[in-house]
Amino acid sequence: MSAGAHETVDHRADRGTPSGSVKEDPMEQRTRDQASKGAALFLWAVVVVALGYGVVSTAIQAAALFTG
Amino acid sequence: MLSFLDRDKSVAPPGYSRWFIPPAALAVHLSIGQVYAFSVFKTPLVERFDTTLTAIGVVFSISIVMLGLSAAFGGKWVERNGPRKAMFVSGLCWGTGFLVGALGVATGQLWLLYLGYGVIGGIGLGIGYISPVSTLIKWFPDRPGMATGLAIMGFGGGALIASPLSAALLDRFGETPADAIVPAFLILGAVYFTAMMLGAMTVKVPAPGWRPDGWQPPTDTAGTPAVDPASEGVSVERAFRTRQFWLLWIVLFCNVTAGIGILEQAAPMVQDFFTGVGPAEAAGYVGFLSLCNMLGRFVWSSTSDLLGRKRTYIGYLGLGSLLYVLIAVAGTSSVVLFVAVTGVILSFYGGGFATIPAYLKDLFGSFNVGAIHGRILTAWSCAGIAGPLIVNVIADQQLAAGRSGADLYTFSLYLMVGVMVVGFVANALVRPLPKAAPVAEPKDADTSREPV
Repeated sequence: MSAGAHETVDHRADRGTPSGSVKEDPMEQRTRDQASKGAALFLWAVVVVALGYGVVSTAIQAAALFTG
Repeated sequence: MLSFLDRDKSVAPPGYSRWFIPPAALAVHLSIGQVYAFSVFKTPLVERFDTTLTAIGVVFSISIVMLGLSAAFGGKWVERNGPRKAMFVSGLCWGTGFLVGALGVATGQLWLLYLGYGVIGGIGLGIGYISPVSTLIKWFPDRPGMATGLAIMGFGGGALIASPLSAALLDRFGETPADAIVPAFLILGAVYFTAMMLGAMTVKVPAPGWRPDGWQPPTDTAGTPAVDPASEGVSVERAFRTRQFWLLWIVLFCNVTAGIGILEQAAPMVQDFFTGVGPAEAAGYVGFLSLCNMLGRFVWSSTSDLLGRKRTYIGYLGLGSLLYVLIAVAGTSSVVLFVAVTGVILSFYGGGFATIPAYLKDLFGSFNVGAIHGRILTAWSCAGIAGPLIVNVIADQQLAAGRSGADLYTFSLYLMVGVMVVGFVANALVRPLPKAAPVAEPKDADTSREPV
């Protein structure tokens, strides 16, 4: 789902200094954003696999209540 | 050198999908949720230090106390510095906690285990627990219950992952589990540190003024010029002085007290209710309750976005108290009934934890919601003492009076019904903050206000 961001407030004015990425090289900025997105996707995969491992392990243990 | 951790450097660029944020929050909560699986290490630690279960149990108690203290007093710092720095500090503390704890185990110094896993790790727990809450609420103003439910579900899920993982590590890295504690601590510390750093690197805050496509904040339909405190945002100092905060504190305290009483005594309780249930089945029952606890955090908190927070807590506390009566009256009639009813109760317990940040956001706005959430978690610390104490003391007294089986718990179950009724009444008394002229924040309040 795309967030479709649109700024209604200029956050550069919020602190009186340029916000972190405003003055940076656009190419460098784009590369970092892509890396951040890639890392987030990787993290999604990691947490889903980890949660799946936990849920399946626990469900097998819980099954003993009815099959034991 | 660490300026990349600053809030300014973590502002999302235009078009950045908000669905890239939940895995960062989950990475942190799944990691710190390990604390609920600490019991896996208890017996090996007792053997390693040649000490008592009580002396080892102190490690867990210190970490939970430090969780409450750091969440309560570190909330303002988290709000000021943003989620990236908070997650970084949390990961550093949690990883260092394992490292110092491993050193304590290796050198036979129990105080180092208290200092490492208990104090340093406990600070990581508190900061990590509250760090993604405010950010998620700002990214999902249209579905705050679902967003915080997703993160806080991770804390419940952390134990489900850590428990089998720790058991496997203890089995693999030494001749006996006691010999494998040091490598297991080092591996867990490294894994959790890495996961939390990945979370810290990927978390981003929305640009000021950002809103989801097509979503408008609720407006005052009466058209009055008065200021709605929830949309303006209330500072933690001001929220702390309101009746609403303390009513919600009571609501959380009652909901947690009732749930934790069952959770802490689950294994002996099911065996006392049903003579045919042995230790293996009881362990399975505890696992089942953990699953219900985890799923309740996501399902009920998401449902609260549709039902409204107050109605959701009416369900947790009202329906919950009826289910307690059902166990007291007919709990022994069927294992399936007992398991199903306690499972629903534990899902309400988890739901209560996960829905409270969204309830706070509804009442006080998102300006200082992370810090306010940190303060209200002191109710958890108090309930963590009260719940098990009520059930254990009463069970001991009933045992001394010659009772046995399910009779050991009947009185405490009815007492829990009373606790939940108190919470129900407190929830019923919660009203939105009165609309008023703009109120100047206290001088010590955070002035780097970030509009949402």
